[in-house]
Amino acid sequence: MEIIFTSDFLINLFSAGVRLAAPLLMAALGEIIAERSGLLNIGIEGIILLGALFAVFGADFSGNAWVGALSAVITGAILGLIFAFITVTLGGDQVVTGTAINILALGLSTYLFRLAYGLEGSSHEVEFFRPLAIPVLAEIPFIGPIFFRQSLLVYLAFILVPITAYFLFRTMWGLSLRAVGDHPRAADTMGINVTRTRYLAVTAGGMLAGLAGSILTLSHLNIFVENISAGRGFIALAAVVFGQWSPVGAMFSALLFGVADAFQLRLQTISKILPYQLLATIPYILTVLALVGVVGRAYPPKSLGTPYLREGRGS
Amino acid sequence: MTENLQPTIPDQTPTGKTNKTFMSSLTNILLPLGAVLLAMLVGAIPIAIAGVSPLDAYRELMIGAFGSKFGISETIIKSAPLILAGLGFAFASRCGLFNIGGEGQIYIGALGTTLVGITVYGLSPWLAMPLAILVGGLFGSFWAAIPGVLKARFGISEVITTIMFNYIGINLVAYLIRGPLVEPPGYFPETAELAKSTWYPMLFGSRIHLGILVAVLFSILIYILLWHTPLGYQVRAVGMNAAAAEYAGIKVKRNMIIAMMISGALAGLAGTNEMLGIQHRLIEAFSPGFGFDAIAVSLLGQNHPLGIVLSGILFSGLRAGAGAMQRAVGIPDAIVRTLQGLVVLFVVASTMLPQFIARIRSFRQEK
Repeated sequence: MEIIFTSDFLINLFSAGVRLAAPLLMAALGEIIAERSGLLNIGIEGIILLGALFAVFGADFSGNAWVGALSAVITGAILGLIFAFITVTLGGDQVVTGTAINILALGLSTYLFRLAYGLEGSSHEVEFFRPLAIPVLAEIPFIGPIFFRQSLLVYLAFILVPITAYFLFRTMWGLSLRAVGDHPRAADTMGINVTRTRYLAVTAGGMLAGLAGSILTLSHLNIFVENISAGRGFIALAAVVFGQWSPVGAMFSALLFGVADAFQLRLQTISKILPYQLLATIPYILTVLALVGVVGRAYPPKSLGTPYLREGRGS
Repeated sequence: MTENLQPTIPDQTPTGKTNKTFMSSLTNILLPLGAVLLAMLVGAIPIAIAGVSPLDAYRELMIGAFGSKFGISETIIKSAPLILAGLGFAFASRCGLFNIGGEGQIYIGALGTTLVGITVYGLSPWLAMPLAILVGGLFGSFWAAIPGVLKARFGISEVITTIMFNYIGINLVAYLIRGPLVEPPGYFPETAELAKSTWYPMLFGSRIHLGILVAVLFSILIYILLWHTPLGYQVRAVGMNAAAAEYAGIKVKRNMIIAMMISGALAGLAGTNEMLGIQHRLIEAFSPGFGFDAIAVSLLGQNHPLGIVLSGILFSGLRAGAGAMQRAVGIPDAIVRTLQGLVVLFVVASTMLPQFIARIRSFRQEK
């Protein structure tokens, strides 16, 4: 067990934790924007999955990782718009719509993947975002290798934290968005277009979830495997609640889940006592415990999950 | 996530049948049919992308599912777990809860059944089989009860916790069949074979086993429970409007936990079905996602037992025919799950459409 406490092990562990936290964080930031506008999109699991696939398609056909990331963003935007149409325009149930997107994405990603790369195995390796050491910062002992030798998309996820926080809490747009999420009727009375705000919010959320998918295929692995998202979208949803709908809070929860995931992956290789299947449950058990932990302290946007219909129905 | 998430429930009051007009029962049939047709229309696009004529693909799908004695028996066999797990999702839905944890409950239910099956050697089938069914249901029920209690006691969204319990349950089973429950000498990740006295008997001299009758029996029981007992009335009242139900003296939290337990028991029985009817031992990945398919089955069936039986047969037909289609025209069978996702999207959309049109009209009249 002393192997766990060497500095090499810890640096390795935390640097993997940061890397594994990035897709959770990116998706969680998108979900915060959507939920702050009052839309609960549990379809981000499916958006991550399809984003991951189209990232590989884009990178494979163009030979350029940037095109891959862009295709993932576009995929996410389209799925976000579909979600918005059904839940905002038609007033359909948000959890059911999100579930439908998850089922659709699981089927479609497997289908298109097998169509493109055959029935077995994985896609061939595509152009991806390589780790990029930031000059000077990367040389800091301990901190450097953990935070500053990551890939571009990982940096982007963390850079988006202060940007999202600034947008939500320091701009007029952010204020309108939160007003729509907390009290759509009042926001409407003030002249804020509730429908447009929610469309924009959930589309932006979809784009970030798609980009989160591209982190899985263009930064972590440079291949796609079936169901590569493996529940990360759901863990991101939990990170939003655990982080109490704040970008900084979501960052810390994503880091917690990321390090837990990295820890169980490492235990699998060094420990013969606890079998792999039990260790693999750690992030999921932690998610449930995290939700129990914030009971009574987490207050969602007041209209979350409720459609807003102008003619006096809804809230 | 402490708020109540209200699922889409077709237009019915807790008193149900009395105010159901002819028009609303007609739309209850036409809307799901329209959703299926639209899904097949949109699903034609990915099939055409593969360079295959969608008509050919769908024809092979239908022939594979319903065109031969073998196809029909496959369809019937595969419909049982979908109907049972679909009933499970529907029951929680009727109480306003989303039990997305069917898949995990299926695995834990199968575990319960297996524990009975590998210990009751020598017991009469009249005792062994009911015991295996009962324990399977209880295990599934327990696995859903935890998210149910977390929801009722602490207001933690059952949406996320049931999903987390899927991963925990599936991994737990994967561990047990390699560790404590592995069949000696342990070459394969599987348990010993269940005692033959627990197996579902075969029917009609075919591969069809007792499971389909169990599924139909439970559909009838759930219908009676929901619409002809005080418990069913309370569960539906909570699902319609929890605050009003509370005001009327109904114990909302208690009903939520009970609804989750019944929901989990039904999903667990889907796992039992696979153990006693098909696999006869606990293995990994015995469920190809029945728990998720069940959501589509339940929604297409309008959360009603009769609708669930019909949509369960439809979806199992798609699944049974998918293999034949893949062999005949080279379309990956994953298209079936794509179609299911599309069906659910169109069901949600079409359920809202009448209200949407009414809103647009009233809007125009104001102007």
